Amino acid sequence: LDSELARDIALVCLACGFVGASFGAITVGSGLPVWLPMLMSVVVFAGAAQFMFVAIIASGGSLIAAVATGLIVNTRLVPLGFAVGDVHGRGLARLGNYVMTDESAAFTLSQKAPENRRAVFWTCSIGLFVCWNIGTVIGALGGRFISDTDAFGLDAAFPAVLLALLLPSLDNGPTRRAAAAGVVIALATSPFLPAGVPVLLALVGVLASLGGDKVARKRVTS
Amino acid sequence: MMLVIAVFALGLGTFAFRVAGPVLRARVELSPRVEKLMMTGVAVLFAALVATATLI
Repeated sequence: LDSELARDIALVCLACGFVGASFGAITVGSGLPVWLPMLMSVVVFAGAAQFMFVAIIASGGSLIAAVATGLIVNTRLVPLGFAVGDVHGRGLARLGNYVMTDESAAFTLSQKAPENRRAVFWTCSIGLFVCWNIGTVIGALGGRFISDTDAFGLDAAFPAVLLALLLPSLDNGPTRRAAAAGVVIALATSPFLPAGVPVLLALVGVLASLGGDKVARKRVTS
Repeated sequence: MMLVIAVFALGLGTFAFRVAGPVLRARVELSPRVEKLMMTGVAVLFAALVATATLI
């Protein structure tokens, strides 16, 4: 790992710890038991799904609705796991993908060489797992002084990191078209569909990358 | 007690999603074309994730 990459990963882990603390504090603050955020951060280890699960239960929704929503939000982990699947060995070694997150997948996919991909995947995934859980414990026990990381803009840190890691792959027309189409699809369907579905539906945007080379060639020749 | 079961249901489902990716990949022959489509798909996924997280 070069030092710049290590620093970026460390910063993401640090931010993750703060958001984890916010998760612990919000969960306990909304009247749920202290063990709930800690158990969730180990067993589920998926920030967005955890926040939604807690929000639904705290507002009096059913457990089934909370589980279903969390699962739908996490369906994106299937294609992401597919993309980083090469860092794992065969058979039971694949169970190690338990610690994959959006951020660790994005960092991993930013690397080309197999040994770099493996190193980045494990450093980032384990770093995030540890920080997320330490943060959750601090937030759940230490309580009230960190209630909402929205105030610090920390929640915005993750989209910003993903965007930074995404940008290099947008270096060609077909990918840019696909991404633009996907964003439009996700934003247009968000008001009507449960969270998580629009992001999956955005994959239809990949179609916009097909056949584009011909158009580009025509443009060059005309 | 029901809350514990719910957490484990969500955890198990999430775990299954995470492991499904690498397992599926082992079953699919990745031609350069499919690989390119996959990378485009991941870029689309992240773009949509960033857009919905910041704008919705």
